[in-house]
Order: sequence, then C-alpha cells, then structure tokens
Amino acid sequence: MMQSNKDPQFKELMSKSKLEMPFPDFEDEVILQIKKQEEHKQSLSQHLKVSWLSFFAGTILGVVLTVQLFQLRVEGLGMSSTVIELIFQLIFSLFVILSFDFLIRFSRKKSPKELFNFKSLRPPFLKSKT
Amino acid sequence: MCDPYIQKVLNGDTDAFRFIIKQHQDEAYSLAMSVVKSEFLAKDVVQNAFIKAYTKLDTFKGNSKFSTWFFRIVINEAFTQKRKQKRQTKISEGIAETNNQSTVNESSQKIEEDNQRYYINEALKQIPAKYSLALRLFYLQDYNIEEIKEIMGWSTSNTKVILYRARNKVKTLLDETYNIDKEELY
Repeated sequence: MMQSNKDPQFKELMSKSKLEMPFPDFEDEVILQIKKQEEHKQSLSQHLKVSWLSFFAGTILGVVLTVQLFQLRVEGLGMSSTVIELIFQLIFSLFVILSFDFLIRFSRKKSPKELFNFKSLRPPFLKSKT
Repeated sequence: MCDPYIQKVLNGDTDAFRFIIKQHQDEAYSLAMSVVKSEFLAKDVVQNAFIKAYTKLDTFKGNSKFSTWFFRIVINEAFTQKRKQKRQTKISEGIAETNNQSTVNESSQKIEEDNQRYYINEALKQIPAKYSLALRLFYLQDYNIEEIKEIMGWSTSNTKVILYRARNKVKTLLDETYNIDKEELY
C-alpha cells in the first residue's frame, strides 16, 4: 500500500515541479554577504586584541594605584584612609572581574546579541521563574 | 563532488563557495518553497542557509553527503522563517490581502505559460510543508527513504506514511480542486 518504490508516472509529474532560482544575481549577493561577514570578523578580532591589551594595562595601573593609595593614606569625606582604600579595592576588583568575564565571552566568538545578553548573568533561581 | 571545493573554502578561498552555491541553489530553493510558499521568502531562506553553511563548514565531518547536511540547514531555516512569517501575518493581515490579489494575477499569467508546471506547483503550495518536502526530496531530488529520514528526522514508517498521504493529497487536489484529468498531466 505505502509504496517506497518510485511510481514512474508520479515521478514524471513531480519532475514538472522543479523550480529554478528566479533571482539571477543571487550568487553574487550571497558571496557579497559572506565577504562582508569575513571583514566584520577580522575587525572584531582586531578589537579583541586591543581590548585584551587595555585590560592588562588597566589592571596593572589599578594595582599600582591601590598600592599608592595605601602608602599615601588619603583621607576625606569624613572617611578614614582604610575605608577609602577598601571602597577603591572593591570597585577595582568588581571592575576587573566584570571586564575579564566580558572579554572571555567575547573571545569565545559569541555573537554581539549573546554578548550583551545580561540575562545570562542572572542567578539560577531567577532564571527558572522565566 | 563538492569535496575539493569544500576544502578550498576551508583554506580561506571564499570564491570557491560560488561553485557550491551554483550546485545547490535550485534544489535548496525548491525545498524552501515547499515550506514558505513565497518566492521572496524562499530566497531569503536559501541565502541565510548558504551563509550559515559557510560559517559552520568546519563542523561538516563528511559522515553524510554535503547536500544532506546542507538541506537540513535549509529546512531548519525555512521553518524558522515560516514561524516568523506567521507572527508578522497576524499583525498585518490587511497588507496580506492586497498581496494575495497580485499573486492571483501572476498565477493566471503562469497558466498561459505552462499549465502543467503551474498546476503541480499550485498543488504543492496547497499541501502542508512536510508533504511537499517529502515529495520533492523523494521524487525530484531522488533521495531514498533512509536519506529523507536523516534530513527530516522522521522514522522510517513515518516517512513512508507521509509520502503515501502526500501523493494521495496531490492526486486528489489535481482531480477535485483543479479538475485535471491525470492523463492530461502525464
């Protein structure tokens, strides 16, 4: 009943359903899109190199500043030097961690859409609700 | 047949991809039309599928034929576009009505050009995407049940049932809706 052999009459009928790409410039359009994508990928990898360099330079500078702040014993805004140092160190650590996470994700060649998807940073108990 | 060109593309020769496009664009277009039933959407589907195939070419291990691997991308892309199209149609039903009118006009021109081609393609447009896909893969692109199974992710029995129902549906449509005597078409 359910033939898996090809019924020649029906095959002939189906041969009339053959379609051809009706857009003559299709091939050029695809190649152009691919070349654009390649260029974009190359510029992304250049940006990535600059970003890693800036990250390392910034981290070194941050460490130097932290040490300097510790030696200078800066006081102000009614806060002792220890509190100011602690706040600075906290902000600096947070900045380093976030930048490092961002760069790692960027290096794994994630798409810009995924890169800026901050939902992925949500804790698991919030993810399950959505 | 595409193997040397695939290797060239993997070695960074973008232009070698032209051969692959030439080789598969018509078949891919037929498959995309089976799902989205619109020329312009089908073009977008095939274009996206080629770009995806290019970017993911390094993941093609050669366990199956390149065409099998590529057509799976085309079909997935076509169903994604179809879902998007459904959402958009709900929003702009008024615009769709105007477009339908122009499709009817284009179709009547096609009747004069080639009746048989027109009727069979119209019948394939009327039937569900999976029926149309199965028929085109089996009869037009000469795939066997095993290969269709691999491309579509169906079981053997399911593939056979779909093919059987699709064949009957097309025959009924040609008989009843278009009042075409089968002898006329063969």
